[in-house]
Amino acid sequence: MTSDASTDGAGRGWYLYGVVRRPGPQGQGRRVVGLPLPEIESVEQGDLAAVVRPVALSEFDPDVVRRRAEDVAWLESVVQGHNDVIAAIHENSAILPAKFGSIYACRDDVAAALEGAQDTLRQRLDSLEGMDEWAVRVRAPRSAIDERASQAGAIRELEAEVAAATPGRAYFLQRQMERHLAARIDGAVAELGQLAYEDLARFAAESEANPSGAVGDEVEVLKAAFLVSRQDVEGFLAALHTLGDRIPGLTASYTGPWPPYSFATLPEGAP
Amino acid sequence: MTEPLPASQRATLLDLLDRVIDHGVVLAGNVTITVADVDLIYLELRVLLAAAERLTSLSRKSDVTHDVEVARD
Repeated sequence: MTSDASTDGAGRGWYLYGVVRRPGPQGQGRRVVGLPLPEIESVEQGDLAAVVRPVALSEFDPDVVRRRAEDVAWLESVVQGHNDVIAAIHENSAILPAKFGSIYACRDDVAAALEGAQDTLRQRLDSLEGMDEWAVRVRAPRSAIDERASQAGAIRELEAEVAAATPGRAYFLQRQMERHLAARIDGAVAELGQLAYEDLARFAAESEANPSGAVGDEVEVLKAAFLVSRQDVEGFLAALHTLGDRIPGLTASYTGPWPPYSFATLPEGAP
Repeated sequence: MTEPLPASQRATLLDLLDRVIDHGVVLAGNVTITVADVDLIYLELRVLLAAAERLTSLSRKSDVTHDVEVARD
């Protein structure tokens, strides 16, 4: 069924949620059922389909968006709406989520975009089949970082020298040690992050680490996304819960399962 | 020692933004809203929300809790 809204032009645009494998013989403009929004449609191209919704372009005018983005409640509803649709589809089939705010002027543009990137889209969709994204943050208390940093051989040697030195020399050695220690702290944060990342990546098909930062009196040593097959999710979650047993001091928090947002990027150089 | 976690923690608006806005496939074509605009808004908002979250987590030492539903609870 084709709604009136699917007429192109006249201030209409097509909001793209993502790309799926074509579920079966469906006509153009066929509504996708069972979704949070009734007006979701598909634009089909070969064995691929784009999940779209007709929107008023005025609603997404850059100036309007910029102004309304200050309204957190509005933004939350838009972002939540985007996720709701993608998550509902993700429950039943692989979906390649689109970048938030991708709006096309007409259905033909959507179809052309699908056709232009069809090989990489297919490839990416295949690798996302049966996969969920899990967002993970791992923290360590300051004390664990400091302890690790002070374990370095050079620091230990300096400590011994300070203890044995005359007061004047001890002052300079102490300063030198503090500089060493500061450098070692950065190293310790990176090491702990790497250990946690490798530990969790055992259960993931793909993973992506993001820059992490300090959180109060704890240090975030890892912020990462893991793409985990539903067959491996039990092992992955168990590893998250017991991370601190294998790497003392670490605590993990996580959200998921999410659609594979972090793993939707097409390879470099794709059309 | 790792504290026991619920099977799926609730996501904050910041978690949701981090997943939804910063990622996703960009297809060629006549995209009328520029991705750069969205990214700029995201970055600005992120700073605000991150600051708010830090304040919350300082006053209330529990971490990920807010009123946004996760993808599939």
